[in-house]
Amino acid sequence: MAAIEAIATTYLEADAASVTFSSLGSYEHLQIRLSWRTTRASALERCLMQFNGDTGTNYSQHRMHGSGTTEGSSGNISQTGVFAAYWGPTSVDDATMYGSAVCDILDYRNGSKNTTTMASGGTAGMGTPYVTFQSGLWDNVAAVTSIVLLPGSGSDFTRGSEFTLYGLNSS
Amino acid sequence: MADPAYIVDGVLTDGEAWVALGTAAPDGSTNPITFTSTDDGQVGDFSQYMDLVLVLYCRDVVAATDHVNTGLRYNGDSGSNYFFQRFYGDGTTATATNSSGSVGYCMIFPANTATANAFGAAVVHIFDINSGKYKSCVSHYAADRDGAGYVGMDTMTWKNQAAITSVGVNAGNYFASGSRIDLFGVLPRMVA
Repeated sequence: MAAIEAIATTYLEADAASVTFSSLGSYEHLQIRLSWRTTRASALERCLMQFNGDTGTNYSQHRMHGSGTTEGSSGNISQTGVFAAYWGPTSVDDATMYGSAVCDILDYRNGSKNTTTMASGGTAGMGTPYVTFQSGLWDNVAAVTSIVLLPGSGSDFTRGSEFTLYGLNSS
Repeated sequence: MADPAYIVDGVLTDGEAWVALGTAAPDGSTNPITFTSTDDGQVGDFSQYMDLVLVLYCRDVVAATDHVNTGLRYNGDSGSNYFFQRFYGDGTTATATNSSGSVGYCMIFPANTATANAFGAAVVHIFDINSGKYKSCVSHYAADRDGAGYVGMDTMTWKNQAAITSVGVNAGNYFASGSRIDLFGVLPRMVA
């Protein structure tokens, strides 16, 4: 049995408001690897992640980051998603500049625990470079059965953005 | 070394997403350590992978310092086309810094005056290597020197749209004997 299997890749051939993974398989953990940018007309965008179609303010986040010569840490409660990636490139950056991130979703099939995520990513060389490490919490004990990724400010993911969902097996 | 069970005659036979592409055990006299695509449609051909992942456990022999920046060059490009953003801690202070240059710095490793036998660990994720995008990576590293050292994460962009066909890991001087570098390819799964 493979330890890590690719479940599905979405490679956008046109701008898209969101990306959905609805067949998550029966793995122990999930990982999403993404290469992304958005059509936002101003600098910097976040990649939100929602579970099971829950668009309510049931998510919280914490993160630490470095940007230029500024380091920091921040967090939010009562959010409409966790961050799979934080502050990536937009239409104001070079057209071939895409951000990257890896996001882990652990024990996602468990139906008695809130879901905690862990992600790291960043983009160097854009107008405001960022590297970040962040946590997220979905305040719901349901097993995760679907995942939606969407830009945090209502723009679209740009054509060429790529999202691959992986499943990690246990022994 | 024999192919693992999921590779038969150079063809992947199951859904294993991470494929071991190569291992280097530096001898203290070679720099850079370079992994090159076989470009033959077989397992070592980078063109079939979405991402690459480097796993490193290294020490540098560069003199008169206890640590050294370490970086990558893609496709042998030695131009000033690499940009990085760093965020690290030294046990007391968290610091952010960014710069650009002819090497894509994304790691710190112990060097010659560091505690004997102290090697640093790092993992580097390189994304969408066959696309027409600038190539972006994210790295994490731990360069503990027993009472001092660094832990950090970087992101690095190579401002070039070419597909990556080789990855050179550039030491400050040479990687010390005992260092180890492994390269993995990460497969996508295109579904209708």
